[in-house]
Amino acid sequence: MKYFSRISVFSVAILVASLASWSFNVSAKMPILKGIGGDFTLASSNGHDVSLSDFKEKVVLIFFGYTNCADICPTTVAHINQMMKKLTAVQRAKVQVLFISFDSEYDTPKHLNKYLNYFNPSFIGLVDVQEKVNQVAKLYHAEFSKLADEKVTVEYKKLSVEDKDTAQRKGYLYSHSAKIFVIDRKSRVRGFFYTGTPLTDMRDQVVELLNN
Amino acid sequence: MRKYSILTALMAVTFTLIAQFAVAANIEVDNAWVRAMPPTSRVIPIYLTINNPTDKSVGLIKISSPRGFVVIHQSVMRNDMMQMEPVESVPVPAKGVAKLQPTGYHGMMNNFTDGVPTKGENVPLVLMFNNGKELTVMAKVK
Repeated sequence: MKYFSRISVFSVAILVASLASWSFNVSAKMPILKGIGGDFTLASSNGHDVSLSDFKEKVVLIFFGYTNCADICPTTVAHINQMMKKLTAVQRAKVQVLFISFDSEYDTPKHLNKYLNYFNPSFIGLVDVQEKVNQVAKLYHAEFSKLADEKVTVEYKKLSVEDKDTAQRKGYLYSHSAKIFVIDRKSRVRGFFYTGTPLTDMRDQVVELLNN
Repeated sequence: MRKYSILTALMAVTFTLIAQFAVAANIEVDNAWVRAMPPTSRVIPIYLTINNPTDKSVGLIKISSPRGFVVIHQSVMRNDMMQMEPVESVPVPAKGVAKLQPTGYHGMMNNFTDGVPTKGENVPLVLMFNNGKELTVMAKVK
């Protein structure tokens, strides 16, 4: 009898725990995040200004990066592209990917166009004068900073004496937030993905936002 | 008597060969690849896996290629921000594996000698280790 009551207590505990996690998942999966995000307008790879509000009724994925980034940025773009392939054509048409470059010195709308076209022509690249880009980054708490040129130069000198091109290389090194911002159909930030987020989780969450 | 000495000599040769074979189990590289990037790119990443079956740890200290200049970087998260940092050596533990893979260690090629390598091409790489050994591998652009 004791044995059975232990078992029943145990199974009730499991039931309660799973119910709790289930309700937690449903409500906290993609909460509306306050104090982050908002509308913005920047020059785009489409050749004209683009605003977030242009994509009402779409789920928008925003990523901040720069084209002279060898690892994280192309990995993230490729990861988002893989997720897009998991959507149906109808769903895909309702998802817009925006790549915002914070490298106003090197990236131009034209350059972003060539870059993103290579990965997925539906992705839109945004870049503008540094001040405007900074404002958007601030809205989204998407921090980035150019690593101190001096430090970078010293490190490169240490690495290689044959490399005479350090001046050109400085601009490659940024420290930046690697979040993918998930924006719902009412332009509200609902959460973040990372390059490590499993594709099916991303797909499921995007589909859930499309259905709501 | 003579028979025995021949046999001994043969055995000695055999053991020497076996011993050499065992020592010859050496560092190997597989799954070397380069991410296919737009022709306008100034930087492209190189990824590969280093298998070290030996009893000694080694470090990958340099990658060179006729196609461009390569530096070894590591993507690291600091204060919730990702950044690439140059590294002097990628450690490969004894009887272990080291991976250059997305969001971790990687080679960054720039200053291309013949343009950005295109999808399907094989890019020759020479890997230099801190024990003085060099390995030439081909990395597929994909």
